[in-house]
This record gives sequence, structure tokens and C-alpha cells, in this order.
Amino acid sequence: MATHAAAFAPAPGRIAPLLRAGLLLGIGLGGFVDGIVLHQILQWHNMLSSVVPPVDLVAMKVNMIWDGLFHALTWCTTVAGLVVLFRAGARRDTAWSGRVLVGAMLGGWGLFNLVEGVIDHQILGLHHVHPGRDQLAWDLGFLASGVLLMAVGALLVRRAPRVAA
Amino acid sequence: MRVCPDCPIGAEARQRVMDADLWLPLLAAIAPLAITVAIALVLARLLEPAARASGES
Repeated sequence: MATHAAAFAPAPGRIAPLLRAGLLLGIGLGGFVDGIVLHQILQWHNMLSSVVPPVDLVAMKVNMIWDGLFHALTWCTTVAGLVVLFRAGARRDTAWSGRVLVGAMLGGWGLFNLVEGVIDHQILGLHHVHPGRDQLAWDLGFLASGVLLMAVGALLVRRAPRVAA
Repeated sequence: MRVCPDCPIGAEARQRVMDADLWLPLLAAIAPLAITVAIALVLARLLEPAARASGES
């Protein structure tokens, strides 16, 4: 019978299955953080708020429809992450490590902020993090948060204790 | 300005979305997530040898 320590000991094997799962979960949950915190709770922006400014209720509802589509896709990404995580758990060669999982999730979240910030905020100009006089600073801060999350995630993955396979 | 003052607001919003050019918002919703997922899957494949090497050292 395995001891408690043995059950949580670093396992030999591949980390790619756990990396894939963590990255997908991080992208999905990071998208939810953006949608729930920035769109809904703080009301800073919506999906198309620079193109269809939510100045009346119909325009607001149009933005809500596109926010909903965005949330539907982040939901699909999160479910895909859960499926990949389940399959990783079923593999005998997966190196099971909490640091790898959390690190990959932070990396996925950071990657989402970086790519979404570049495409939606900078290239397409569909919305800005906090529209107004200092919107460029907020947008750059959002990109910086992506880089920071990715760096912390990479550090966690690198420092995860693993036994060589 | 309401196009159809007697319609429910949600119905008018849905109609406005259906009548608009959809490519830009669709691109907005899909492109970042799709690109991020693609980059992530490539990263997971590329990072494993490096992470394994650092774990062994």
C-alpha cells in the first residue's frame, strides 16, 4: 500500500500531457476572468465597445451577444482542457505534478492576455481594457500582465520536481 | 435609436447582430482564442524536452 508521501512523490514520465491540459485550462479560465471581471463586474469594456459603443440598451445588448459568444468559446476551451486533463490522468507515462499544472495554467492565461491584447486591442481596435485618456497605458499593462503570467508559469514548470524517466 | 420601438430589446439586438457584417466580431471572438490554443499546443510540444532536461538536472 502506497504511503501518503509516496502518493505525492514526483512521478517519472512525460509532462507534455499535463502541459497541454494546463495551457488549455489557463486559456479558458483566463478568458473567463477577462469576461467576468472586466466585462461584467467592473463594466470597463465589452467585446465590441469601441465599434458599437454601449450608449443605449440595444447597443448594450448587441455587445452582450458578442460577450456571450466569447464566453461560449472560452467554455469550450475549458471543457477541452478538462478532457485533456482526464486523458493525461489515464496515461501511465504522465509525470503528475501540481507545479507543472499550475504553471501551465498561468502560462495559458498569460498567453491569452498577450494574444487577445495584441489582436483585439491593438490590431482590430474592437475594445480597450479601460477606455479613456489613459487607455494605451491600460492596454500595455494588460499585455505586460500576460508576459508576467507566462514568466511565472514557465518558472513553476521549470522548478517542478521530477524524477527522470 | 430603436429601429423597432415595439419589439423586445433583446430581439432587436439579435436582429441588429444578424443584419450586420459578421466577419469582424466573429474574428474578434474566435481568432484570439484559436491562435492562443494553437500556440499553446505547439509550446507544449516544444517545451517538454527542455522541461524534462531541467527536471533531470
